[in-house]
Amino acid sequence: MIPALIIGLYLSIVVAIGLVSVRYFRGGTADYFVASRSLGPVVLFMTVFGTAMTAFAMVGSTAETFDYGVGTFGKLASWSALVHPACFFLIGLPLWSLGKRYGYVTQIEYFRDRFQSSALGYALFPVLAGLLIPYVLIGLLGVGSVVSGVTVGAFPEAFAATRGAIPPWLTMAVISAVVLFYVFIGGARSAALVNVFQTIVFVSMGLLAFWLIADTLGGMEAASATAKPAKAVRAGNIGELEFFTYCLIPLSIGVFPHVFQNFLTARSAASFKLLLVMHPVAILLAWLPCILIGFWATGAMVPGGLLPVVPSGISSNAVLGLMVAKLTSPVVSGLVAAGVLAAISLDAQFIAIGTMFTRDIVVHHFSPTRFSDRALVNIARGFIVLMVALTYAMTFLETRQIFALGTWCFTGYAGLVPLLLAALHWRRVTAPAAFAAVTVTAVTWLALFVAADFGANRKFLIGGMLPVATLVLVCTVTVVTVSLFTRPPPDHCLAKFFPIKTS
Amino acid sequence: MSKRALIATYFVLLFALHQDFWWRADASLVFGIVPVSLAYHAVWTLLVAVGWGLVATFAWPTNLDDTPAPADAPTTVKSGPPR
Repeated sequence: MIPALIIGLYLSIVVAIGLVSVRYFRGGTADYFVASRSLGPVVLFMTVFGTAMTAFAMVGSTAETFDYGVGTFGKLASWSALVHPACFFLIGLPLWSLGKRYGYVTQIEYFRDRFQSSALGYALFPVLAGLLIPYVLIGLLGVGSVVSGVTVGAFPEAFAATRGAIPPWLTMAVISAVVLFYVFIGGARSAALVNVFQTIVFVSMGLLAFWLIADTLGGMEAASATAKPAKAVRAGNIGELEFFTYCLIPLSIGVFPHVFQNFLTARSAASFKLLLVMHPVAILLAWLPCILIGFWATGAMVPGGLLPVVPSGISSNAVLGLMVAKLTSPVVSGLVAAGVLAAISLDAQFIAIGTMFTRDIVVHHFSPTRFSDRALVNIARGFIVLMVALTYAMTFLETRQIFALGTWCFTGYAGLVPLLLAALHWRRVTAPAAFAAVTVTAVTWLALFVAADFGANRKFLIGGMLPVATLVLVCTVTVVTVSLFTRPPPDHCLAKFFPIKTS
Repeated sequence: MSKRALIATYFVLLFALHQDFWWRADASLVFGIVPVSLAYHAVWTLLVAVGWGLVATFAWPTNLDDTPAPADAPTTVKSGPPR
């Protein structure tokens, strides 16, 4: 019961922040979509970090370490610490500048303008929006499984079928409603303020769980001494080529539509400086405790007994929940569950979907003057409600493991990074090359996804490398080859997009 | 060598040093707590933050804030074949 109460308290605070943020809502699409491009460095950093991290940062990292050892940190966290800021610097910063200058709110608006092609936007929309749906799905599934895990026995009469735990369908419905509430009323500004709170909660709860678990296990040295040495190394857990090609997965952040929209909320270019420096530090603070908990779980025993904390045959996604539940108190279980919920911020994705539909389809198709500003905000809200309902319905279908779904989603976005980098930094890239790159990358992604048994084959590698390596290579070769064999972009277009001089 | 080139070299070096194959099978624990490869990647992550600090201090692009938005809407590109 206590964990359920703490989760309820956490959700109440989120709703309260949403209500407070409405007082600052200036009305109109500029504020609803990009918070009037007014956020300073601290809020920008916390919003982008909170948006970039998912349930995987806490639940998945612990599970992956339990299964495949501490190399999990190197393959995901430390690569992200380097590649994410590189994307912010090489993609986010120039896009922010162009967005401010020409009024872009979505990536598709930039692509249409850069390549002088309306059709390219229609080709990109299903790809960018389509990959967001599994992303949101991952978040919802994570929420459902975590809350179910920590509330076992809390409501034995109401939910007898789930051993008294709050069933995932109910949790997912409540979370969807809460996120929908504050996104509906305050848009990007509400989401940014909630993300600040969520980032503080999930980083601090991870550290709290780490500290208390270590204490129960007799200290950090004792906890590490009983862990399996086989999980302290990469040998036997992951191949070197596979480990290396994980550097391509974090590239996906450069193409995430919701992160792009976060970039546009920045007040000035200087706002990005704190983000670049603090993002790696925050990744270290968020991931390292959970990785060590996963490592300790490989050998942890219940205090005063001979039973392992994590019984054999249990799904590794339950490792964090079990470690917290069996080695700390119900209060801490509730706090950690709130931390996991905080790590799963779905707001930015919802806003991005609504914005893309409104700006890239409705406004583009009918003309910017057809609807009032207020009507456009309502169109975005309506589409967001529709997409949330659709995604919620999809949670009742058969679902793959959270990590498998996430990896394929990130792989798809990462595959498009060469096109975005070329558009921003290579004058010679052409519209036919952009079309070809989007088509070839999408078809290749689909073929690989099918070949990997729709994500079920978690060890699907090509030449020892992750599928993302193939996608990035295919996209790069397509962009370069087709560009060189087609007519260069017109001078007026180049003059518009390459006037920036750097010191 | 310019500051930008030095910083770029720093990042190339970091990129190469991520692949710590020399500790691939080493299960020893730093301070009896952290597996050596994990400790290495934790320090590596902090060095990445230092690198971005150098970028922010010595290699930050200029002119990004210069031009205000003419209007909150992009150039309208209507339907038609790619050119």
